[in-house]
Amino acid sequence: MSRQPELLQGTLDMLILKAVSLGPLHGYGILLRIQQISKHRLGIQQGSLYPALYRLEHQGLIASEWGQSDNNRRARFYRLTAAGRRQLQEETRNWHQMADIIGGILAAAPEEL
Amino acid sequence: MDEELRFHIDSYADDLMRSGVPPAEARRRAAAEFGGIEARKEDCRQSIGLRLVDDLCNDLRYALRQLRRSPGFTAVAMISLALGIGANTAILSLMEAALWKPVRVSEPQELRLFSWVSGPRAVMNSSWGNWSRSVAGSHASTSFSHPVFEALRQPSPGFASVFAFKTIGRVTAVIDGDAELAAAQLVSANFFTSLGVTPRLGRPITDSDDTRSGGETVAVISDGFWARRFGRNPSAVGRKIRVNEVPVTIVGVNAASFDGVEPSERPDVFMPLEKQPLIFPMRRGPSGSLLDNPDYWWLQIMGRLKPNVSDTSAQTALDAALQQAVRATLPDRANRDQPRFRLLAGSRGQDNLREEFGRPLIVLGALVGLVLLIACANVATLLLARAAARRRELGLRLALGAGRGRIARQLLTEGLALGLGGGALGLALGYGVRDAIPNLLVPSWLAELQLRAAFDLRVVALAIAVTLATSIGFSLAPIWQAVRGDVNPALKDGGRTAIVGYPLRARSLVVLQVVVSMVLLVGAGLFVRTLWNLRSVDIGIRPERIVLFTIDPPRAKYAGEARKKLFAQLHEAIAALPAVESASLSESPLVAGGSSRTRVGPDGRLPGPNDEAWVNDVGARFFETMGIPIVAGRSFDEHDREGSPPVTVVSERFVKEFFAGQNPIGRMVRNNNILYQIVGVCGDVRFNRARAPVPPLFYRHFTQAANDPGSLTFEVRTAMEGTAIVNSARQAVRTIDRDLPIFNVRTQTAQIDATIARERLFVTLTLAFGALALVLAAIGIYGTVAHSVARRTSEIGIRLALGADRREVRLMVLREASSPAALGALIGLVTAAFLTRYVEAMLFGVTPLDPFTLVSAVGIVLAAAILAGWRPARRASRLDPMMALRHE
Repeated sequence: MSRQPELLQGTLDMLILKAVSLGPLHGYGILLRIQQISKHRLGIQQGSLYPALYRLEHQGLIASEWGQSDNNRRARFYRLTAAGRRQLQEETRNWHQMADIIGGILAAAPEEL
Repeated sequence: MDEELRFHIDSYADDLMRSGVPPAEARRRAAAEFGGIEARKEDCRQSIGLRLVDDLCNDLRYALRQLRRSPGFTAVAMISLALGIGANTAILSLMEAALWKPVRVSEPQELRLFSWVSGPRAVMNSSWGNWSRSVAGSHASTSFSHPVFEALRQPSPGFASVFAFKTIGRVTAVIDGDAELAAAQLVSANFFTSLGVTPRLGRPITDSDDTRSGGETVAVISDGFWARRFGRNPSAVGRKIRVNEVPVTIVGVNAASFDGVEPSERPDVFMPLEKQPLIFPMRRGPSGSLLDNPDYWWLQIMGRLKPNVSDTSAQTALDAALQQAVRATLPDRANRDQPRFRLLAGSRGQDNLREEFGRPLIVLGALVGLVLLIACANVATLLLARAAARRRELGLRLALGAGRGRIARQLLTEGLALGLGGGALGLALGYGVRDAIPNLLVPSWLAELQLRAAFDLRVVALAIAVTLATSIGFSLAPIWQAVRGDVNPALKDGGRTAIVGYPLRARSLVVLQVVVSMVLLVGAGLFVRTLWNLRSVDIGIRPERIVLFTIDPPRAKYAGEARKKLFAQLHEAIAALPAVESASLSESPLVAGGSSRTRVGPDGRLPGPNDEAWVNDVGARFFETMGIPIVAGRSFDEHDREGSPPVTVVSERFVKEFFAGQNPIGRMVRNNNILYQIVGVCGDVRFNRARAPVPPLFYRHFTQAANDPGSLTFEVRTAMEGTAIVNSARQAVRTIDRDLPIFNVRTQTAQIDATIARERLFVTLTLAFGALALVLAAIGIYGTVAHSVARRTSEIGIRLALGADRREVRLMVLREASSPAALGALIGLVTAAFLTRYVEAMLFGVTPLDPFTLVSAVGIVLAAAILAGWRPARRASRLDPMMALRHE
């Protein structure tokens, strides 16, 4: 992979919520899915995934339960809760807003001042 | 969590294998990229905030391991803490019971106790109950007459209710033919309703029960009596028993938590007030009834204040009511000092315990507080020494990145582990000995004056609070020192040399311990001398081999003449027993802490307001039995009885006060309007306790006193050991009356000892605590001096090599050992001199600043310090200079 852009702090949570919103997944699956939907342009540090998952669960934004994986092994699956869905919507909105503002600032040409 | 993380690694490894990586390599890469499972787990736990708990568990485990590694230190620290905390807990629970706990009724803070004060010429002639007299001569009492009670209980605007009670002492209760003694209290009809107390079984006493005439007599019994005599059988309600020969029906059983409103008494039976003439007739006037007698003040009265009524307005209203009542009931006493009403707090009812035990308990509390202080200082010293030894380890940790807060937390955990261990031990100790101190303070035969320690949740909570406070306290010093430490020096010198600060801090703790030891030793010295003085004072009697017991015949069966005849009969029977050298009886036993007074008029004139003497009604051969010398004239004998001319024997002091020292034989004394002729003069006796001054005594023969004898105490001088004679005495009494019990059996020496029980307790405690403090201080001194010698090994080696005398070296070390002791002794001397004035009331024959005691205490402390420093001093003087110089 080419050098990956650095992940802003706090966006990991949002990405996890998005990944999980598409359907319940276990931890490794979330990792793969994020890689997948970013078209392999983004990878998550393996070390930071699970602490983030535990934190999100502690905050009540995702819920977990044990289930069977595809190769019939026991794994813990995470799904989005109602609160998590609301949080995801809000963060998405904030992100787009912020991107707009920053983009506007960065696009400012000298003669517009 | 493990399983989940492992699944992740395995899945990743599988994927790698699928993309062609060999299995072993795939697993290795997966594990490496993921990182250590334990590390990841820690991260997860930290993210949800469990990190703190993990840290604490680790700290605790480490702390326990440390403690286990040095068992000697742990044992000393925990034991001294346990003693301090245990002693504090025991005393605090006692103070709760004796000083602070309100009576167990509803809303005790609304209750008020009625009392009055008056000038020296009190308006009533007789009274029974609490009575105090100030130096100026004014009286104060909580006793009222029944007619006054009736007047005061008329609806009063300030009070929701007014009720009365009186503990009348022991009554004979016959249940199923078995006679025994029970403690009884008479209460007014609204007693239970005013207090808001409902019996757990049956019903309380109500208005309809409290009538003078007719109807049956009912009683409510206590939970303790119900358990003891009826085995908690519910059939007790409705049972008919006999109390002092009167048929009584039990109608209720009180809850276990209710024991009346007099904390020092535990009545077994509560009966209606109006039945007094039946149950407890006392001839103090024309009849045995006290209900109509305006001149006998005996009832305690309390009231429940209405909300929003101030004490001052209630007091003013009641004062007016009291004045009116006294004028109405005692109209011809207008020339005497009328009583003025005074309202007292009633949340502890009629509180006799506070007067009796208040000050001694506070002093005890201060003592054990000091012991706890010593224990903490001791543990702090030991912890400091250990922290100094661990400098290197802590420096390493700091260098490796541990936060100072983290280190402080660990040291605190270690301190808390030690403290909580000691605290748990101390709590167990406090529970175990909680009854020991009350038993030492109150003589065993006086079951009435109960002082039970309350050991409830509040006490436990208090003990825990004390433990935590002390743990944090003594951990502070090591923490402060460790956290401030500079990392480099700690790592460089390998931790074998001490920080500059340590000896100073340790020294100040040692000085503190010496100061506390001094205070305790001075106290011990003062109490020891007090006890010695009390024991050697001449009481005026020969107490050896005298046995005492009390007999209280029920008044319903024996009244007036019959009573006097019974006692004379009993006296004869007991005196006739083999192994009895001499026997007599008296109203007041000697040196028992009690006294009665009466008004006397020398030469037959009417007694003036200051003509008061102490009185004792006795039987024949009293003075011979007690070993009181007859200085002139004769003693009472068989010829003196009811009907023969009234005679009296007076004490030497009486003669000095009332007859100016001249021979009084043959002169008359007027008492209660009877003219007594003086037929003898006896030696002085310290009547009620060894430390009281000698009073003027007026002895009457009990058959010739104006009033019926109450309960009389028999004194029996016997050749037998201990109280063995009582068995034969019981037999003799039983042949006269089967139902007449003997109680309060004790020896005269035991009774005298009981009056100095408090002093003995204090001597024991101050000596024990003083010794403990001294030992701990000595250990502290030994520790610091040994450490100092170790530190200065090379310096000492140099001195010795340069030709210093070994003796000089030894002296140098000893000087180092005794300097904190000397400083501590000085400060302790000043502190002790300041504090001893608070116990002046408890001393006897020795001043609070007794020079002998102070000097001896200083001497003992210095001697202990030198003893503690002896071994390190010897070791220092025996050093081989070559080895010392090579010592790094």
